[in-house]
Amino acid sequence: MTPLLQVEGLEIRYHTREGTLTALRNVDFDINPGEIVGVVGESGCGKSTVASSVLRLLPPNGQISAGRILFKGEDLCRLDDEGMRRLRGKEISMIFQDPLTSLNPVFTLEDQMLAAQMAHLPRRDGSDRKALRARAVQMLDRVGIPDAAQRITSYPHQLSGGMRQRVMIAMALLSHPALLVADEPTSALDVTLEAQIVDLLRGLRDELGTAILYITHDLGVVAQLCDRVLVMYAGNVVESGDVCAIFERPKHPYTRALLRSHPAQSMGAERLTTIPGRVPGLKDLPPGCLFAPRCDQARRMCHAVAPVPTQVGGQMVLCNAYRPGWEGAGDDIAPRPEFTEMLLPATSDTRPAGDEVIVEVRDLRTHFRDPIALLSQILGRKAGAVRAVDGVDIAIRRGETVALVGESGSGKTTLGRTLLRLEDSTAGEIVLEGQAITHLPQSQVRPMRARMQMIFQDPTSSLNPRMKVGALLLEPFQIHGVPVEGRAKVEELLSMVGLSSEQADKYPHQLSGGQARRVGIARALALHPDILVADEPTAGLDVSVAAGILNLLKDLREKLNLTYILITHNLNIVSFIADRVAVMYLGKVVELAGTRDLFAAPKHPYTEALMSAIPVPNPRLRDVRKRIVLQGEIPSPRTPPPGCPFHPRCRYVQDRCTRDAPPLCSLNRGERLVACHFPERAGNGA
Amino acid sequence: MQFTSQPANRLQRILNRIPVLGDVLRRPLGALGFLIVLGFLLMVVLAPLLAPYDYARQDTSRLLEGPSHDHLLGTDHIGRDLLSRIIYGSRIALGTAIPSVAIALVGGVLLGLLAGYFGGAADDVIVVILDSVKAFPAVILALAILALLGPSLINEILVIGLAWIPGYARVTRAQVMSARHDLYVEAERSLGATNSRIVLRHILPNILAALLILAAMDLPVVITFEAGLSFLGLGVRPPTPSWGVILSEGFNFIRQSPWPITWAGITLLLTTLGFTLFGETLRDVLDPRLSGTGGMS
Repeated sequence: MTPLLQVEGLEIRYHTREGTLTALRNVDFDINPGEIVGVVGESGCGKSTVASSVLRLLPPNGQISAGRILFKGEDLCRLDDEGMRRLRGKEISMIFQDPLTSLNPVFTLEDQMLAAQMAHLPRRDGSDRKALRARAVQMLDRVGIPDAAQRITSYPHQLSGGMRQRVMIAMALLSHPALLVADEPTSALDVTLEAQIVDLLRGLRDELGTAILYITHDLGVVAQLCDRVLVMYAGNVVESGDVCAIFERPKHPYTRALLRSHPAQSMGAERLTTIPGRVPGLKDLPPGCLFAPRCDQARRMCHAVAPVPTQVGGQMVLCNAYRPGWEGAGDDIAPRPEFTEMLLPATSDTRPAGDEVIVEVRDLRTHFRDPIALLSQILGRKAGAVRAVDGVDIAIRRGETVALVGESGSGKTTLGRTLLRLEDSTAGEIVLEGQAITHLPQSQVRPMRARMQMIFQDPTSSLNPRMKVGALLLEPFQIHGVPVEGRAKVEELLSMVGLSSEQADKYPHQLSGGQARRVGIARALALHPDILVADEPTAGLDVSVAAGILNLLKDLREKLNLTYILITHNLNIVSFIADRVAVMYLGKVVELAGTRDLFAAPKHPYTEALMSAIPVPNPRLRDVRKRIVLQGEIPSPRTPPPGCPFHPRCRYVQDRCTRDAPPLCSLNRGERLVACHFPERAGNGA
Repeated sequence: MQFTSQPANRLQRILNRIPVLGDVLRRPLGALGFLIVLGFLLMVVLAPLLAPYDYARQDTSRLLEGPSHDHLLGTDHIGRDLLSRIIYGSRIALGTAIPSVAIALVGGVLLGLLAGYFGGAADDVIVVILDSVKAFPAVILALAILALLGPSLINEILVIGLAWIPGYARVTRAQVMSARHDLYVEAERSLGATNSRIVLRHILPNILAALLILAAMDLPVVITFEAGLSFLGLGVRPPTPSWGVILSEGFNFIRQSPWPITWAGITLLLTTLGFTLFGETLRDVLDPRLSGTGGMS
């Protein structure tokens, strides 16, 4: 079979103020018709550059300086702009990471989908609009948009994020392209939606024979979807081969390290494995093997000699260990550790979970009322409300970690914010160490904030861009009037979160995502709070960096006896760090259980579906493992369905579920709470 | 380093020691803008020393002349030396423009912060007042108020300041409204910071850049507006020179001599250029994200 796309010796350079930087070096790979090839690696390894060079959509200062990109035997590097334009969207299509901004907000879907088709028609002829429209509707239908014929007249803002990503895929497939380039298409979506999209892409490949180049940082998705994998590091392909071979017999130390740092590999482990250091910037690449400074098997030779691609087994590997003469390559040179392990050794698995309740909420509700004009109010119209949190009872004990999980829109973040009085509750009660704080005025809450802190979802934007790290870390002391010796305190805080003291003079934009996250944690812990609410602490971070953050959170919990409320949609990290899990759906807790029990046997159908949607980094399991792909999306919390809120998506739904809302009840006798009429069904496949 | 580049190094070292201005001067455009602004400020202070003649001295034998050895820039329609009038005119131009823009900036920022941060009723009231002021054309507003208070330099400054407040308040309000929802503001709130601390220490520094640019661009507009008021007899009285007066008088004699409006025009242009370049560089320098201290990412 002749490959559809052949990339040979590709080299990409960027011309910047700091000189010419080489972003890709000697990249070789093929894609056969109907094949799904995944590209993985940390941020900054050149994954997206590969994607945009295939469509020749590099930024103006980017240049293909060497190599060939053969598509159906034609060299794309030699094609003129018009020839390239003909190819884009017809033979090769692309879907982007952010479905929210990739659709034009001022046109309807119909306008955009017709325009996409007409761009490749020989003449602009209005007569076959009907046929084009029918095609568009058919494609929307194919990607799972309900009521496609009606939906096609809507504007992008009227659709949810998952729907918009489907529309993007439909648009990309309109012309039956031979190759689809997908740049992290699911990283902005929930696991349940991600599972839907992954299934959709595989189905489309089987049905239409479209080859897919899939860029992602998520090894789980790769294992679920791809046939072949390219592992990239600092602009090189360091390993490529069949997906099963890569996952089962990884040859390159980087591939092994990536796989090891995936949290699913260390369920119940004491610590996660991290890769020390970070991807080098293009400006200061190390000599010899680019991965050597972070490699746990690097020898003296690796720091001097660049490796050459070697065929090992079925894989192509770029590593000195496979070249002849490795035995005489000198001593092992251990990499420098990412941060000094100055924390206490981890204690035993069972942590002292006291019985003292530190914070408790009773029937808490937070509704966001729609703004409504005065006149309409007088005329008696009632404002609608988004019921973000709708009756939650939970008691959190000192020293434990409770995870709030659920899809976007389940109300988990609002619950965390309401607990901290960052949002006003509509009804219910919040009790902090025996004191009701629900209705305290902000002036009295303010001094209390020192005891309950939050770390925010986006690490960089939660730091004032105009203040240096040192000043940011002293903010809590100034706010609460605590006299403190500035420089020494800053250094103490920085070293607590494993950062060096020179970071104090940096601005937030100069930090990497992981460093900014650490600064956020240091600031939150500056005044020794009792409770820390962590909102998606690993969102947007590479696996190895995320693993470092999780290790840090775990260490700090032991050391400072912290109580964590962890808000996340990532069940992998829950299994590593949480003691108990509260699964939320449409503002309600539907299941509350100890982490081990929950993972061993989920009792609520929603929990069951969430767990089965986790992409497991094992390609063998993808056909074996029974996956429950939730249909549709979480309903609007403005108009929750009657009865059990989950019934429209539940696979065990009975008549009773559409009428009565099940209360959160104790299962059998124990601590485990489930809000389901038929909790015995889930897990039994009945 | 090469031997020949030593003086440049010394200059670099001196610039490194001056906190903000040094950074401005290190950029060619910023240095140019600063030099122009500095030149005009010197002109204001040293006018009596720089001007070759008294600005009111008439030489009726030489009307509307072009540049010559006696009169470097020529003369106006009653034989006054244009160079002297432009030099003295800088006192009126900058002496009204800078204070009035300052009034507009301070007043507008205060109102904008209140309206944007607290929202609700305060916002509604402030927006209605701003819109009412803005609804009058600036000239009509100035006419009405100056007719009431009587024309004087102080009143003129106050009136221009008032007329320019809504613009600054609007920009501030919009910026605050978006900054209020930024995550770093939320983070400060969760640390227990008071509203005044959040507004003054966190939001204001982040929105000041846009306002500085607005102010730099408004200065020349205000200078011409002052000219308009003077033309209507509400600003400075003859024979006191202002660039606006030179422009408007010169306009009547444009067929006889293009020189008065040419020189006044060039002066205005240079002022605009100077303040804009200076303002824009200042913005870049004050924003750590743009100041080039970061790495490539």
